[in-house]
Amino acid sequence: MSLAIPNGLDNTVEQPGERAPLVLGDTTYHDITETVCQVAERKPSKSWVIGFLISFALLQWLGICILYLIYTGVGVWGNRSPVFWGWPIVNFVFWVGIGHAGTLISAILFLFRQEWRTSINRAAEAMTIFAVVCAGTFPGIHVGRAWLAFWLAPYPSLNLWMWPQFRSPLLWDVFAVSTYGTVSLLFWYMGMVPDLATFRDRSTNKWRRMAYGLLSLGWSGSSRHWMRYEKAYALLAAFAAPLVLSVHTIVSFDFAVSQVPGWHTTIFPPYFVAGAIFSGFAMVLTLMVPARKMLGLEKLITIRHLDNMCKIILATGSIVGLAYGTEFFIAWYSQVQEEKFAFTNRAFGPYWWAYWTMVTCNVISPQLFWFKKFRTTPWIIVLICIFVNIGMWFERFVIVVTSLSRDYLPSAWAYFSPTWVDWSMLIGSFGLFFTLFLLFCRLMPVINMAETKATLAKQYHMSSDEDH
Amino acid sequence: MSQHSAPAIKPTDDPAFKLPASLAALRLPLCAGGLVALLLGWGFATQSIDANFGMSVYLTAVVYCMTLVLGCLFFVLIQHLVRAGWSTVVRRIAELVMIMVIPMGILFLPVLGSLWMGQGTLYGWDSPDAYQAEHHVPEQVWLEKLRWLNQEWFTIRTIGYFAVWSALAIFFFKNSVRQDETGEKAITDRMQYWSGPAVMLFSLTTSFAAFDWVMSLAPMWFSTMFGVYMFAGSILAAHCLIAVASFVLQKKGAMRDEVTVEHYHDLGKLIFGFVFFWTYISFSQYLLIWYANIPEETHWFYVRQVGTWGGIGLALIFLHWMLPFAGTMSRHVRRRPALVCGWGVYLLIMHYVDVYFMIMPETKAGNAGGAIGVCSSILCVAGMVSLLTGLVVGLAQQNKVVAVGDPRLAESIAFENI
Repeated sequence: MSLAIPNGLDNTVEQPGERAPLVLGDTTYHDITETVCQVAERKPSKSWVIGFLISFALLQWLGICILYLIYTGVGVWGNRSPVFWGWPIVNFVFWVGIGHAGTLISAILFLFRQEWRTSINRAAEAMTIFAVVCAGTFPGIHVGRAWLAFWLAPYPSLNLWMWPQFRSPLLWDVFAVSTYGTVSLLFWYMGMVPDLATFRDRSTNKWRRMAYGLLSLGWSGSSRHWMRYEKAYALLAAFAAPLVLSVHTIVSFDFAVSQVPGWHTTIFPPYFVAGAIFSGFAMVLTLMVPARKMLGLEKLITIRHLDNMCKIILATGSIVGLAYGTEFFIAWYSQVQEEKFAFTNRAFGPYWWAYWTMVTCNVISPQLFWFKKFRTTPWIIVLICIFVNIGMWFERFVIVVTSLSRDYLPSAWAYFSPTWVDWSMLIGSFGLFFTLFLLFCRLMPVINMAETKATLAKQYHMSSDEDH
Repeated sequence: MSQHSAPAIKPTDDPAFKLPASLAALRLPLCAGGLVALLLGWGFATQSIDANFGMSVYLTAVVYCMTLVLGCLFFVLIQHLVRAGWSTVVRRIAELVMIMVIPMGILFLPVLGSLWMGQGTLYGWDSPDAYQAEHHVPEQVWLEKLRWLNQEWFTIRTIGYFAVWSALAIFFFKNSVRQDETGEKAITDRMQYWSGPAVMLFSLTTSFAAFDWVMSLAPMWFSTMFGVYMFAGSILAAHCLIAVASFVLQKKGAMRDEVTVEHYHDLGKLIFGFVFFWTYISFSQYLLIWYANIPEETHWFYVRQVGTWGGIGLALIFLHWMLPFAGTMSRHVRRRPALVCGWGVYLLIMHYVDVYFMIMPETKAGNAGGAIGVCSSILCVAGMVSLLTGLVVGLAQQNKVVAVGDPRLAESIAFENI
């Protein structure tokens, strides 16, 4: 059975009443297996090796910096009075935000029956987990005595005779991020079991067979397995959906429960969530567009997928823009002196360059996605998405640094400057992220084969309906 | 979702797509009765308490109806934006309600009228000197505030909001109705094309309307979240309204084969989701203000936390969140149209309590206005809802109750939840 869809068909156009195909070309079920498996089975390409070496080197550098930090103390960072929350928190919030696209795609888009998620959810979920790993690193080392970071865990301690401060949103963060990380990991792994079994069955080497055999938990593809799998998947999706909202909501509470002007504003929770999804999708596209080209996945991750993701970036970017505007307006409307000052200071104070970088990258650049040309040209997508990533990092910088550096008492004001360790750790965290992602591309099924085949099955079905 | 075989679509002039005669007959009684109740409630509140209370009761009715109308407008926009297939069979109901933004513009006139009298009847700030003296507002702060809060500018903005909403409603309504006749696919494309900018305009205007119409009742209070809070209530109410209206129409004989248990299941899921969203937004707003404990912000909640208002606030937690949250969680409930309709009616009532809780504590009468205040408000809001229902019925009589020309109708009818 083959599907009569010409190669290179523009599936971004959809006739009302019909649904455009999500798998292109004369792709068969077997082709899907081959396309996805060859990514992990063939020898690594030169570009993969180079990419991996660079990322791994950066990761080593991160490790060295962390050791240096632990050995010397947090004074090696630029964190000084009054900006005690410097780059580590900026990086933490940035990475947590990146980790929002995966679970949104796998949980919320699943609940909304968006079938185009099937070929992008796996890689996006992987990015979620790696981003959470990067995020978790920063508060872990920011506590100063990193070897006592386990004090954050609430347990009846005979040494301390006390519990963590439950009234602090920082502690809620510990729970929120670790719950999110756990559920995302579970979701990612569970969704991978049928595909890992395919890897197992195709393995020609004893060790690979054993490793994938262990990971695939004895999956045989029986209808009973599928039934339980699907039920568990839907349940996990329902559990994960509120988590997508909760994590960044609680991150926003870290700031918004305080009385610091520029931090304390009620729109923070939904605005942070929108921003997180915005940055998460931007990161997914930044990596997915080159990956689909290099790994030969263009028939599975089609232009329509990119188009849809760009639209989500446009929507969430506009929500973020509306939130910036609302904050500014209400700061003026409130006529509270400190509020007004905080926002004028952001835009026209010593950090004006950071503020306008943020506005340009986050509000203006995604507006280009109104034009279809920009949503469907891969290199333009990557370019805009890199701008969005830069903008979202600057957003956190603007929030954290500008507000703290000039809060109430002018005598306590100071300008924050990062040190070389701050820079190194930011760059090093990208090393950690890319190392994990590149390993994932080599070792795991990068596309959800089982679900993509189900999408293809429906496509066959619809086209055969048209035939008679 | 799955489409096994193309379902049989009835011819466009089938009685299933027409407003049942038993409902059509209600048009005049609803309009007349509604108008009388509206005026009675308003008059009753003004006479028995004071003009400020009367206007507040009237504003509560206006805001309640506006949230329904705007929620339906948003429903239509978002269905086009995401090219939804499941919702085509119920979209016309939302389209018929959203066009009520035009009569709402007329019903808003008394609010503007009270503002232009300049006696601080409804919005304290329209009598600036008295307000400033009474609340000891610093001169400089007050002068700046009045640059936004003054009759002229408020009126211009309000006209602007209604102009934008009416334009959007008319555009989407007219195109959809034209498609009933022609069935042109290009019309769907056109509506999809404009739905993006429309959503942008919608969010901007509704957010500012919430600030102007409701938040400025307490001119010194501010919350950046307030627009989202109003939106959350309105989108929840719109889904409830669509479920209730579909149920009533089906009971009376319309669209019996078109709207299926699957559509109620989906509406139920969305109702459940938006109950959660409303809770999330209102809880976040409260928590942040309570936690920071800054007097400029806490006064709004302080009033709502003591005495009778405190009781209503607590009731909202239990009855607007916990009870419907538990009640609409189960698949069993969502797949029973009568139960979805029941929860819809219940939440429409709770939404009214929410709007009452936003507006009425700003009146000078204590104790939620007592029994007289509450009864007059109920009379007023029921009157306005009835009047609008009458108008909707009139409009539905001249049009189809299902978007019969929509190319996605077949997909919608055949739609099944997995």
